[in-house]
Amino acid sequence: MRKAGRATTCIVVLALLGAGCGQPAPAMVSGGDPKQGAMLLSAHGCGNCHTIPGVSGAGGTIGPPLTGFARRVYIAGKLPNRLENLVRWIRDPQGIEPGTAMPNLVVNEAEALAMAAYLYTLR
Amino acid sequence: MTRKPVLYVIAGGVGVALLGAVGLGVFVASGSYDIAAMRPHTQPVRSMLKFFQRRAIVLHARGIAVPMLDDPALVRRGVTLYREHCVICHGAPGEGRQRIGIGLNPNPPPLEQAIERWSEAEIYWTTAFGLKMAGMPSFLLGRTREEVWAIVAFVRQMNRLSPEEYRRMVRAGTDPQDTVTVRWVGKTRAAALAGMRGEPARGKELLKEFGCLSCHMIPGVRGPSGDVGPPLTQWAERQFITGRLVNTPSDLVAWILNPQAIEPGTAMPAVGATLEQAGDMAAYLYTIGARPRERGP
Repeated sequence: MRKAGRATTCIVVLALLGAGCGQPAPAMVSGGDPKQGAMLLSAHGCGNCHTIPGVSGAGGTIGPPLTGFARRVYIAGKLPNRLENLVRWIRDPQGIEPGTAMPNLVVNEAEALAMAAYLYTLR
Repeated sequence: MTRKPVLYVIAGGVGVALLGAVGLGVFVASGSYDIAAMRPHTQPVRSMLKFFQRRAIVLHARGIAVPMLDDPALVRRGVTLYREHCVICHGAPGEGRQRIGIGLNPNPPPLEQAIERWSEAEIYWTTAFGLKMAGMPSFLLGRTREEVWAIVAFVRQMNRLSPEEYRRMVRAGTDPQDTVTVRWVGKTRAAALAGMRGEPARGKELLKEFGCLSCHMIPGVRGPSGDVGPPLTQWAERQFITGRLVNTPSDLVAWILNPQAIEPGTAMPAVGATLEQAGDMAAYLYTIGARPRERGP
């Protein structure tokens, strides 16, 4: 009964919103889940300042676009674009570059890893 | 007999409308739409809400008379109020929102470019009355209209503030003993762009000649481009250069001429351009993307 209800809901959701109900298995990259990362980039409001392909509402022009981020050589014009540097930058930009327009947000390590995993899917 | 096809069409239309209404009812009653703030809306819902919000704000702000806002004392008061009441959710250049402002949906937007998207009257209306279902409270409650206008007077200055200038403003605004010099009222980014000189066509060629493409993707400039630095897409809309300077022609030229002076240790080298050449390159870059609008009354 519940199953039938869910299927109906799913069909209705599909019909009304054009959104999928399937939950594909998360692909793990660098210990973070890119799909979770995309959700977190949206939830933390990264898209308010950055354009990030595939992230809901991420069309900001205050900072640089993160398109093709996996190929980017430097972060903030200084740090080599490696996972540990990206995680540090996401969590504490003011510690790396005091006075930068990018503010320190409240992002934990696991969240930063997931965000990085998503950004590294952008080729 | 000839009216029959028309009747079928009408009946069909009514049937589809009824089915739609029933479908919507079932969907709402099922409770299956994800209302968790942490997860984004589906794109159609998001687009609809944004459109709805913009239309409503534009309509309701119509006819609001905007007072003189180029008043240093008003801006000074606005900075203090902004710091007390707005930063917690909206942040400021270089200053993050506080814990209570995190996890809201819709995400409170940064207001650096608010004046490029909304008129002063629209910003006043939103600040004064707040927005239902958006976490935006009414600031007129318990305060005066003048205090709300003070916030607007500051917010409309935000698109010309670098993180450094913002910090200076805050210091001068909160500490009466502080002697730091602050331009409370200045030229907005749109005004700065309007006064730009330089030849875009020449600039486009120069961007190629100076090898800018080896590090930056630049829309409209053809050739193999590198990924060392950020792509320069939507350049005219970009707020900051290297996270430090406001993106205006004079600061962009300064950055092109001597990046190391502005940000020691940056990967961006000085390419040896003259002042005029840098001006031409800047002129081309500002043809990329939409220019900021000055949405005055």
